[in-house]
Amino acid sequence: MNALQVQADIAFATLLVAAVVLLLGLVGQRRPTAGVPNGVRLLWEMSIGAADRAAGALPTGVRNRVIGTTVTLFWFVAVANWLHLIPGSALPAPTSDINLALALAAVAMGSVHITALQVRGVRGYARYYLSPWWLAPFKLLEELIKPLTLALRLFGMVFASALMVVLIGEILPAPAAVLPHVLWTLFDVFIGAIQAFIFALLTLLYFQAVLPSAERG
Amino acid sequence: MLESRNLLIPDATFAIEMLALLVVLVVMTRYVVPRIRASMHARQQTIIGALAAAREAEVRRVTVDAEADELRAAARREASEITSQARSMRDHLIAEGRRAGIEDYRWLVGRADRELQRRTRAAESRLQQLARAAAISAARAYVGDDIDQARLEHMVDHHFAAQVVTGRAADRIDSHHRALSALPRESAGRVRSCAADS
Repeated sequence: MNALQVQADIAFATLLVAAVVLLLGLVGQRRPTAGVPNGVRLLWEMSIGAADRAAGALPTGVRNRVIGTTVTLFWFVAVANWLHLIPGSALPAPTSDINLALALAAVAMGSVHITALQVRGVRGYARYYLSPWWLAPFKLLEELIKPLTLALRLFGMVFASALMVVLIGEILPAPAAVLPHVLWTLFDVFIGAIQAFIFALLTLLYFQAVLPSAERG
Repeated sequence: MLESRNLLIPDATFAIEMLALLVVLVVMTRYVVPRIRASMHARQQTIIGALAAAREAEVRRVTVDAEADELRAAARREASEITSQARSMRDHLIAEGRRAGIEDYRWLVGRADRELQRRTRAAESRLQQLARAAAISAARAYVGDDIDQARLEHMVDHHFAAQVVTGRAADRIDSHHRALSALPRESAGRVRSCAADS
């Protein structure tokens, strides 16, 4: 066990996912249309619109960042979860490794706290955790637990899903394993989307928890 | 892989993935999402503007429809009044024309009657002169030269005057008979009986 070890397949898969999401983003924003959107553009507009509605009354200055972070995390996690489902792909789902799950959680929570610091200021940020003062330890504990739960939930689900594929292949003989494998793959698509949605939704909720509402001022 | 390392302990892959994720996040939040949101917002504003314009046009349409209905009703009223006036004018003109025609007819009939009477009188006078001359010459041929001309003419004239009076009386009786025949039968009988009594 070496802390400086790099898992080449996981790292490559993550970079591939990053490239795919970036490519989709650049393709989606390339031709703004005043008419009815379609294709990749429609996917982005649907997810951004959903995040916009779910975000509620956030401060205007950070709205783009919050929605952008949420939507990007959703598509990143979704593509990462689905990567191993591509027929003929030898790459594993990078989210089945704790490194990416932790990186995602760290980025999400880091973005939440940086945004909260920018919006509230240092005093306001501290006041948020120290009022009432006797709850401060619990709030700090909660802030430590949040990224862990985010990362472990995602990692656990995707890892278990990948493990199920291995188990189906190991337990059942080859002809009998085809149907369960196909069924599980379809279920895996669903689980991948659900996990991405949960990750993005929790990130958005964490943003809403620490940011002041625009309606309240 | 399962035996080689603890699955819950991160390694250096974390740093690479973190870096890749940060790059994606920065690009997406700085460039991609704001542009897509801006175009979505612009489209939303366009739709809101179009909806407002459509509502305004609908209000204008309703107003114009109401004005058109009022104009149609006013035009119908005016047309009805014009038709009524034209009818009354037509009736008036017909009555006026009829009255003028009747007056013209009466004037023409009167003039024709007068002309007829004048010509009748002229013809009667001429006839009387011719008859008188013929009677005088016939009487002269009959009586010879034993009577003077003045006396002969006087006798002829006297005789002619008696004939004229008799003729007029006969004419008057004929006209009375004609008037009586034009009356209803009972009235005519009553008139005859009254005339017989008298």
